[in-house]
Amino acid sequence: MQKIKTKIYQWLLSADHFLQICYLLVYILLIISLTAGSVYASTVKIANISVKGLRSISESELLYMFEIKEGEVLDDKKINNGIKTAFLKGTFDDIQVYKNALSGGDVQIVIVVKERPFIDKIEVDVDGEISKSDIKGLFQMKVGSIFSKELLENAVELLKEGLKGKGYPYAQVRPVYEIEPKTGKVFLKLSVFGGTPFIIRKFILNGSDDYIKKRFNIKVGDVYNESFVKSEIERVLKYLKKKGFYAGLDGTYSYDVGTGTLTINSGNRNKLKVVFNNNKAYADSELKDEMPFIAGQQSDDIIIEEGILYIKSKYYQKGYINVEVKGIVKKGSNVDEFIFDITQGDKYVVSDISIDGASDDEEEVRRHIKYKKDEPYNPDILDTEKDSVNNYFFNRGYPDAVTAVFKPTIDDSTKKVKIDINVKKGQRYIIKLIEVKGNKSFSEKEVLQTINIAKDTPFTEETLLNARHRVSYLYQHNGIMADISLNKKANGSNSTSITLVVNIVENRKFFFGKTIVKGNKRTKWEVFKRVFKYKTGEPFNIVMVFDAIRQLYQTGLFKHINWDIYNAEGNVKDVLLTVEEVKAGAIEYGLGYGTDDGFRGSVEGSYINLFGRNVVLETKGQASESGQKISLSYKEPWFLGEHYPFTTTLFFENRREKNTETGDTKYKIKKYSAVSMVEKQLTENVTGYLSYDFSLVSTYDVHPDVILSREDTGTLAISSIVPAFIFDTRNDPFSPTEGFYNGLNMKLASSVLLSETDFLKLSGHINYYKGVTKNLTIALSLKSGLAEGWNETREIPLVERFFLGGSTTIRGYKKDNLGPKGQDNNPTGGNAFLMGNIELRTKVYGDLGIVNFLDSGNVWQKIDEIEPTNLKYTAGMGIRYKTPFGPIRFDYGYKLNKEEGESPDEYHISIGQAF
Amino acid sequence: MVLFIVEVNGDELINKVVAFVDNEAITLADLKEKYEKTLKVVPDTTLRQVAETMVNRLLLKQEGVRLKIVGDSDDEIINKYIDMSIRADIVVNYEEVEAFFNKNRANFADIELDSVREDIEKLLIEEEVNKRLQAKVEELKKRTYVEIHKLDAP
Repeated sequence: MQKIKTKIYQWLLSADHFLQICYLLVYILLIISLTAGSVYASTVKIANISVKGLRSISESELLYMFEIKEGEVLDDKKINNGIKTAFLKGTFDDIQVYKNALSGGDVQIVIVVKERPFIDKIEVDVDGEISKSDIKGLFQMKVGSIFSKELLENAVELLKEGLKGKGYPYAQVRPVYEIEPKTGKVFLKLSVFGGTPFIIRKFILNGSDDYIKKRFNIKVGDVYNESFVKSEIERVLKYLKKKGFYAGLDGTYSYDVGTGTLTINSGNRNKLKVVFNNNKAYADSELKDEMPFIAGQQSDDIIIEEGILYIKSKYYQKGYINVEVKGIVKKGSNVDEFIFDITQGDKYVVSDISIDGASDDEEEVRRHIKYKKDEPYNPDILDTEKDSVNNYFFNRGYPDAVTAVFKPTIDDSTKKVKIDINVKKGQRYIIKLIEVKGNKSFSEKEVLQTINIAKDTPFTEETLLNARHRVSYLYQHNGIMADISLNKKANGSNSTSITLVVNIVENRKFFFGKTIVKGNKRTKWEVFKRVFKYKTGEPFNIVMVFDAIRQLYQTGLFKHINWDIYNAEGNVKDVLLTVEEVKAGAIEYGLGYGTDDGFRGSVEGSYINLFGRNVVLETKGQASESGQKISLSYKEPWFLGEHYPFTTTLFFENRREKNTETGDTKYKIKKYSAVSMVEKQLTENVTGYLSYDFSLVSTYDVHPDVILSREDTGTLAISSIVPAFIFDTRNDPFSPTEGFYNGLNMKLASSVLLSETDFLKLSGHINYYKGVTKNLTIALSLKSGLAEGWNETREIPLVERFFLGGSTTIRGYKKDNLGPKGQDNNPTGGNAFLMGNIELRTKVYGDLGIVNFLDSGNVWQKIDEIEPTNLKYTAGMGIRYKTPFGPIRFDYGYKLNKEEGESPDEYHISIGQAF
Repeated sequence: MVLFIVEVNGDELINKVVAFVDNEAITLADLKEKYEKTLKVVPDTTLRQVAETMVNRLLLKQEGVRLKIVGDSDDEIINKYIDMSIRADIVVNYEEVEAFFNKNRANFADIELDSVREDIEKLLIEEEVNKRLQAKVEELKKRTYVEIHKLDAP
């Protein structure tokens, strides 16, 4: 036999056959078998590196991909890998690396790159009836695509194919292009000559009349556009189904080139009518909507059979266990009637459920099953309920002999069903010991810590799966491919104690190579580099790649980020991220109304990618009945090379504060501020802020009533530092249903900081949200603030004092109208406040909700005047309508301990939750 | 080896791109290494043939990746791709084996068909794999940006 085989192989390897038959495959397999990776040892050092021909990326990004540095020993392998890594970016057509020997024995490295030309503009010129947008849609090269002659030729061929499908079989396409040598930009002009198209000279709708034919937007004289014909058939089919014709077209068509005849074949011309006789348990429409008809796909018999089964199952759900259904089809000249006669019979309900053998688990089983006392008995779910009880015990550590028998006893005289459930739980296995086998990269202790199963834990499939998942994660996290399996073994015969055995087969270990980014036109390399927490040579961990992608999305710069992993030489994996940038600039404007500020308008302009570094420049302008605000912000997401967002804001405000009761002006303010703030994420939920605030506040036209100190009128410079902390575990910042939102804020203004006033202001809040049911959330809030001045400052300046009342505080009062008042009843604000709010937020329908609330609180002029028992209470309710920018809100608040002269209630319209 | 060293304006070429398939490059160092090793097995092979084969490999690997075929190495991906997308679809029936046997009767003078049937079947399958692979590579080349730079003849 061996002789025979040798003969065949000799024949196979004869020169002719080798080249003619097996050339390609043999070559491919041959090349596969050759091992790669020879290393060219070198001892020369790189004195300096220069790059030529680079225009679209930075030199540092290119050198990162090459991983070479001045002063290092020249490593040809690094150069080889660097060329391939850099090429993955998709920017280059050619990369060449040269060395130039210097006098001291070191070398100069010269990297010469040739960047790919890309399409900057496409112009289409058409001779014929074809639309330019159709051509642009069919043409595969787009603005921004790489350009090459070969790619252009292929794209032109595909365009011609596409035009053929649109009815232009003789279309000619002539491309002309121009490449700008300095920038690589390509201007492409496509001249398209439509030629003689296929024309529809005759339109036949086989086996149908004008009613259906008229539904088509196809007429004689049109160009035969095949994709349009297909879409028309689909559209008309949908229309016919809506009108009751369940199989009006059979979906086939043909076009005869010689005669120009388009033929579309129709199907069953009759309408479908479904009739339910004696249907009492459901509305006809409810049954009909869910009937399993698939028009034109099934025979009438199957439709009837499936219909009967469906109706029966629906009736079983309501306890009609003896329902009888008969179905017939009546074919008419215009209508096919599917008639179902229903005899529903009596309704049976569950009278009692007895559970035997479940011992301590009886109540849990009762809660677990769908059968409930006095509710309809559905025989259809007997088996699934049995499985459900079995699974319950299986997951509680009884894997061997769990059997649950459901025995219904039907009493036809009372129409009651008693269900007896008999459970044989069998043995419960307890994990007494865990053995780890095959672990090399991690100690047994590390694996056991990862598994995290306590001694005497009941053995369940879930425990097993979770343990396996955790060990797999440990290995993946460290770049190791490993096969993990877990099984149990009994500790002695008939023993319920078991040993869990973790079998680990460690395979290859992978390491991070380079991360290449492509598709970024404006965004600089440093924006990407700073989020890559992994380094070349570290164990490969895909979770770290996902984390980097998540952080890149958080910059707001990208619409899409796709990732690919490339196996580089050795056990190295390169990561390729392909990004699509969003438009960095935006202008937004809005008009609104709120009871606090009246009508208002705002305009906001922002640019989020200044210098390609994700630096944000933002300006806002807002005008309302109470004043104007203008701000200009500069936000650097990384401050001093660390991820500490830094913001500087210049702010101007011109505001008139009025007594909301009387409408009289209390005071006017012109405020110029410059605020610089740095923030740091301290833990997953805690963020710290530190800001410096310099404000020049001019308070004028002040009603004498509200003047408490010399600083309440005139121009005042306030220079302060403000440390703050936020603890946020909310699940949704706009409408939270779970979590805390707590904050602590301190403002210190001092003459040491060149402030004209000295005070310390402390404020804090604790907000808690808890979803009680799917549609009901309880929201609680407690807020307080204290302020004290020193040196010349007795009362803190008017603009810094605490006020309560309004849509976000105590809603039975107008804005800032609660607390100490002057002789003319104008609120003066104070140095201390305490406030508590309770809200019950109920989702009513869709995005609409209602809120019931109780607010309480008060303001005191001085800290030593605080009386926690002297609080004002208001109760009320409101309506919320959810929008993407927060709920639109209407609240009505009623004073519970109104004082003489006060209005009994207030209403508020605004956006966002109260807290 | 000397033939690969190029000097331009006194600078000595260390390495460069000699071909690419979309964004994956084949370097001069890789080509040189493969060429030298191939020469030992197929002495009359040319540099261009090796470069073309390396390009074909990349085309097949990229197609495998596109079809979500995974593997620890390019070789594994290519093998899986050939097995799953090409070889798996090929069926050789008895008539074809018999026709091949009869056509090449001279090579099988004293051998019964049944004793070589399996081997002929394998051969015909490989022949068909090759044909389809060739067609596939040509198709992939049409929709991929492929270029082999001018190569200096060794």
